[in-house]
Amino acid sequence: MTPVPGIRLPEPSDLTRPFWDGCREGELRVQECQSCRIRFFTPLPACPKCRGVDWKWVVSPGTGTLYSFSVVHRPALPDRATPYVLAAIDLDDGWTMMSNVVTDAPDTLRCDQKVAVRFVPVSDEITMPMFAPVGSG
Amino acid sequence: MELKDVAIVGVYASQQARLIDRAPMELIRECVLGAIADAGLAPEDVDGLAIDWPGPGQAPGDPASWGAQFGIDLSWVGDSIYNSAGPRGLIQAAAAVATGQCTTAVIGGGMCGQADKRKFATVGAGTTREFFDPWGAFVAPSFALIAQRHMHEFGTTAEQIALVAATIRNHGHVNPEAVMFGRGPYTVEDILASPLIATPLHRLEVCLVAQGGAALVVTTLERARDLRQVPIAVLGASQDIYGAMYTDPPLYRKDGKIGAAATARSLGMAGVGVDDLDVINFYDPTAFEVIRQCEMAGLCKEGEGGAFVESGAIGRDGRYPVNLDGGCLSYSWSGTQQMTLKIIESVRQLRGQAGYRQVDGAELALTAIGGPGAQKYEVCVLGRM
Repeated sequence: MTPVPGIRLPEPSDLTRPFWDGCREGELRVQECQSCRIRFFTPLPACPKCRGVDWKWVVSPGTGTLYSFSVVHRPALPDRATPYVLAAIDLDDGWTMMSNVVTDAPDTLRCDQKVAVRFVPVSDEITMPMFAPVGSG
Repeated sequence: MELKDVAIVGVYASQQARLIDRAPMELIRECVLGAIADAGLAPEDVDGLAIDWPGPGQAPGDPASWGAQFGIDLSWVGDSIYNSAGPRGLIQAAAAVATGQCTTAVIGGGMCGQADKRKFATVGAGTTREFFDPWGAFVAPSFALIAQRHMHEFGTTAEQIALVAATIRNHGHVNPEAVMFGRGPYTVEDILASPLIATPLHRLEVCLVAQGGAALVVTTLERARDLRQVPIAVLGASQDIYGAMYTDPPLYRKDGKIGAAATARSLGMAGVGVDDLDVINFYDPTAFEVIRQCEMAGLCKEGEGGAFVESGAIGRDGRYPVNLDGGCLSYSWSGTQQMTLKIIESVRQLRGQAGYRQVDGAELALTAIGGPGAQKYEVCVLGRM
C-alpha cells in the first residue's frame, strides 16, 4: 500500500518489534511483569516496579476509556489530514497509551467515554492501533 | 559555600525576531560578550562555561571550544544544550561556582539564520519518538491533553484560558523588545477568534517560534559585591524530572502538579513563602500552563486557577505580576535560550532596570520553565542583595 501521508512511521527496535508485529496481526500487545503482574507501556527493558526482567508480551483486550484528548487542527507534519484526535487512552487491563481516536464527530468526544481499539494499516510494515468510541460505526 | 552564596552578575538578551539573518556564531558571541561586559568583567575573568558553539572553528557542539576563542584555560564546562540555559543551566553553573569548580561561569547561546542554513543545538529533537510521533503528537497537543482534563475535572473555561493569553500578550504588546510588540492589545474575544491549533488551545494561546540568543554570568556573592551591578543571589533552585520529554502521554493525574515539589524546595532553600514573591516568570508554552502553575505553586488551590486569573492576580497591577515581558506567548520563544530570557526578566526587575514595566520595590522573583508536556520543571528563586 502507499503509506498514509503525514504519519512519521515508527522504526521498531528489537524491544518493540513484538508490539508492532501484534498490531499487524490484529493484537494489541503489552509487556506484563511475571513477578508483580503489572502491565507497562511504553516498552521498557525491565519492569518499572520491581525492575525485574521476567516479563512477557501478552494480549490486551483493547478496550478502555478516553482519559484526555485534543482535536488537532494544525498537524505535526503538513500533509497529514486534519482534524485528527490525539488521545491518552486508559486500557481496562491497567495501562495507558497515547493514540488517536478515529471518529467522524470529534467535537462530540468527552473525557472518560468508552473506546475500543481499531487497527489501521498506514504502510506495508506498520499498522497503528487507534481507538474508536464504543457504539460508533 | 551554598547556592545562595552565588549571584547573577551579568545578563544579555539579543534582538528576538521571527528571523535573524546572521551567522549563529556571531549572535552567540554578541550575547556572551554582552553578558560579560554587563557584569563589568572581561573574558579572561571567566573560568567556567556552558555555551553553544555551533562553529565554524574548533569542535562544533563542544563548549570547551570557547577556551581557545577567549584564550583562557577553563576549570568547568557544562553541556551545550540543557546546561547552557534556563534554571537548569543556572543551577549547574552556580553549583560549579559554589563547589569551587570555577569562580566565574557563563551560560548562554542562541539560534538564528535562514532555515536551510540554520545550525543550532536541538532540544532533544531529531529522533523519532516511537510511541509519540506516529500519532501526530507535538508540543501543543501534548500540553493540550493536560488542559482538556483540567477543564473536565474542574470546569476551567475557554474564556479563563483566553484571559491568560490576552493578559500576557498585552504585556508583550507594550514591550519594544517583544517579537509581537504593537500587535495588540487583545481581548478575550480576539484570542478565542484565532484559529484552533489543538483543542482547547487557539493559535494565540500557544507560544511563538522565533530566533534570538541570551547569556548570563554567575560568580560568588563575595566577588559580586565589587562588580558593576547589584548582585542577584540564587536563593533557591530545584528541578522536578519525571521522565524523558515527549515520550509518554502527559496525564493530569500523574503530571498535573509537576513543579510543585521543586517550587516548594526552592522556596524552602530561600527561606521564603509564595506570599513573599514580588515578580513571577512562569513558563507559558500555552496559556493554560499559567493556570496550572498558579495552582501547583500554591498561589491558589487546585481547580481554582481559572477564577484566580479572572481576579486580575497575574496582571501588571495584580498581586503576582506574571511574565511582564510578554513571555513565550509574545516576547520570544527561541529554542533553548528563551529559558534564559525568563531569568533575565527576573534579574532586570530585581535590579530595578525593568523600565516602564518595573514592579516597585521588587526584591524576590520566581522563574520557571518546563511543564507536564516536557515531563520536567526547573525553577529558581532569585533575590536582590
